[in-house]
Amino acid sequence: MAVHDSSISGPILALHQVSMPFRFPVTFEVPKHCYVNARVLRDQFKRLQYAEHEVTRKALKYIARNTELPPRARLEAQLQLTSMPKYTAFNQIRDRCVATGNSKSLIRDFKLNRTAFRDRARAGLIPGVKVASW
Amino acid sequence: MLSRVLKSHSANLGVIRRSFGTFSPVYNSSSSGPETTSDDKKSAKFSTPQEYIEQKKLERAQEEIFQQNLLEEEFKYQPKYISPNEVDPITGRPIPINVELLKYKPLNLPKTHGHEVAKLKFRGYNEDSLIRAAEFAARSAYYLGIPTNKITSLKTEKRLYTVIKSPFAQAKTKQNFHRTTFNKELVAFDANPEVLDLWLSFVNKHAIEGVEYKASMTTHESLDYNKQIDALAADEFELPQAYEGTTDPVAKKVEELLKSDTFKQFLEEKK
Repeated sequence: MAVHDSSISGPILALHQVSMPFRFPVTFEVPKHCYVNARVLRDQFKRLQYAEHEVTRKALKYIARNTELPPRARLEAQLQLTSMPKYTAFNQIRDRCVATGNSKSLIRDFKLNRTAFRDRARAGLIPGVKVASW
Repeated sequence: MLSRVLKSHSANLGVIRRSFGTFSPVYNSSSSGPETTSDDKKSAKFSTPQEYIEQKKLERAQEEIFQQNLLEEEFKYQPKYISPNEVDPITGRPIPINVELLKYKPLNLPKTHGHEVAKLKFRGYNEDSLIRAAEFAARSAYYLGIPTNKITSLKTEKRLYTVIKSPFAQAKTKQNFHRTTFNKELVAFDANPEVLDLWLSFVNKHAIEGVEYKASMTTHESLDYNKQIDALAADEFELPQAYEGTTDPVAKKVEELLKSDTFKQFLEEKK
């Protein structure tokens, strides 16, 4: 995986002077626990990137939100935070079906899409789940 | 000594000494018990204080004599087994009692003080494995000498999942599924922490797959516990020192950032 370290701790101006910009393709480990397609891979990439930059993001956010610190330092932190790539943000991560890679009508408890869930539930493959009748 | 006293006492009260066999079992006491006339019943219902005291005395004496009789007579040891207690041809021994006990509900010891020390909660989708896990814990508690109560069932949860049966145009047609989660609880009393630790680690070691175990322990603190806590914070913390030696990676990063040249200038400006 290409090391992406665009001098986040340095001043903003330095961002443009980074010698080697971050660019695709990036090699990273393909997830083995689930069905893989392009969108799953894209999501996996975001997850890995978020994990890598989590500490920095949280630290910057802490500085930016801390009212005890001088306003200029807070602004600086906020600017650094916004200058970080989008794929390092948590809100870019979307849960996907483990069986089909679908992201719509996902049942979180099982990490399955509704069709994948229904097939499995009807076959009795999910522990504790039965066709309800009352 | 006691029996002699009781005997003389009972003679005064007019209690007839009866052997154990003559006492009728509890379940048909109503049919074969001593006959009571309607007058007796009436007097039993509206007795004077004096009469009531006498009656109670008589009952107590009768009870004590019964207890004595239980101790005096020798019983023939005739345990009733579910399975025939045959000698195993290979080992040359009968089935051990603790193995036989697996066919019964787990035994539990009486509480000595009734101080709750731990609460074990079991959670799972399969009730049979849940019972197996809970009974295993109860039996091991019995053999470790930890008093427990009986295994109690807690509320069964049913989570409903409604999915559409077929997509788009027929999306109104739904199918309901539910997941049942069973809950059981076992409360342990009066054990000291070492024994409790041993028990919990043993239960943990032999934990069954598909059952979620959760143990919460209750400990007792001295009455000056709040003073102990206050004493800890007696020396005032200064903020930079308070964060010294922290293992939180975010805190470390914050420190690193604030010490960097960019942030340093802003921090100095303020001063």
